[in-house]
Amino acid sequence: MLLTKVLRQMVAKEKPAETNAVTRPAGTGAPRVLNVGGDNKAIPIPGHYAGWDHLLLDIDATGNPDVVCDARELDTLAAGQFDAVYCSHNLEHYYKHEGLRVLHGFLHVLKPDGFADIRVPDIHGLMKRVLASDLDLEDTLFTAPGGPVTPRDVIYGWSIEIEKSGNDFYAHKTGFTAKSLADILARAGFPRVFVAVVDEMCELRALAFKREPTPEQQKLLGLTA
Amino acid sequence: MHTRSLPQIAKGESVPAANPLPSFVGDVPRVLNVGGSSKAIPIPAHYSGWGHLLLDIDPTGNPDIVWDARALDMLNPAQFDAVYCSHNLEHYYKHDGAKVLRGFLHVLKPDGFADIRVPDLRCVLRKFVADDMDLEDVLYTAPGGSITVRDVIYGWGKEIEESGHDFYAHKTGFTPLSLVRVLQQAGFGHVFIRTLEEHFEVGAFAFKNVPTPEKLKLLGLAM
Repeated sequence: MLLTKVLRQMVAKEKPAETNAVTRPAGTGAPRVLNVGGDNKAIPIPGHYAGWDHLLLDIDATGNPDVVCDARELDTLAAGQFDAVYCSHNLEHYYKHEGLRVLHGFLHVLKPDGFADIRVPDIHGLMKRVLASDLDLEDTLFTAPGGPVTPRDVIYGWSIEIEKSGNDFYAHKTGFTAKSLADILARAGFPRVFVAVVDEMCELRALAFKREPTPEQQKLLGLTA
Repeated sequence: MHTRSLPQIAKGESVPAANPLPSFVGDVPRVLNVGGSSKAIPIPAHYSGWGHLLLDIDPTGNPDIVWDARALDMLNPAQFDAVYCSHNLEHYYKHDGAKVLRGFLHVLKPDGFADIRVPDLRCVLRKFVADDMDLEDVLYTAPGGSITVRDVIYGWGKEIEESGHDFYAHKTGFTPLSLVRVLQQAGFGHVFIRTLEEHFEVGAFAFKNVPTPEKLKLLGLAM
């Protein structure tokens, strides 16, 4: 059964992670999060992972990930080993038919009570803003440290990064709305899905559980049943 | 009778074409169809009587030249009266697209023009928002199947999955305004735009120089 909820409080409560530097060895009892496609550990992960073991997986070795692996090959990792999979602005980098394979990989590496924590651009929110503000595709939507970001960049990937790196994996090969994200998570096999829309960032945030979230998880993530 | 042999088309190296190039009778104008897939797909009527040369990266549809459109600068310059490029420019990254357009300028004669058609994302996003659509909703139905909003933006999912070819993916998108700008930036001095809202398409005729009265008449354009 699918339940989609718009949980703005999840956003309001979020604080940047205080520490990401310490990666304790497995077996110390701390919960473990697999950061899929997170580029490098200098980029903060959400505050709800403070004190967790943070393992970074990326296809690009540049940012010194703990595991260099294509996220479409997560089924090659040991099963049931993570409490959470954090995947921020990565799922849009796979063709539609490959996205399902990536999500199956999340289910594979998650413990039975684990969850996937997914962020992607909100194409519906972007389009509404483009029309409301009478923007063109190449107008500046906002300015990032590396340069201006256009609506075209949000849809297709940041052209500055694609050109500079020459790497195809920086391109966005699909896009999502709140509904299409909830649908693909349900189809992949997550029975319990929460989706939040962050209008000001044109971003979607989904929490997808293998089974009903525990009271501890609800408290940690600010979920209301 | 003009028989164009391969070395006349490409400079430097030989062209990896499987087929002999077509013979064009008399001094007919010549159109290079870039990325047109197959000659079974009709090209606009204003090319009737022209010599039609098909260039495609995919050999499946028997193009005259199997070639990557990003490397048109390897072909001989100023040999075509027109470049026809329908639903292909959206298949290149933004920086590659600029290279493709410079290649069009390279192969066009001084009075030549580029005839470009791409999906009109402005039209798509207007309908998407006005009709409260979702990305996987059907925008229209083509002979090969249903086309969703996501397919128009990112390329036809069915084709990408079945072929396994990355070149079927859409790597950028255009509005009428962004198409004009990219053509002007590439160096086309005179650009005419028309939108076909019912097909979610925007087209451009882009000239290197001031169009001749004959070309304006042929294409139904007014200065």
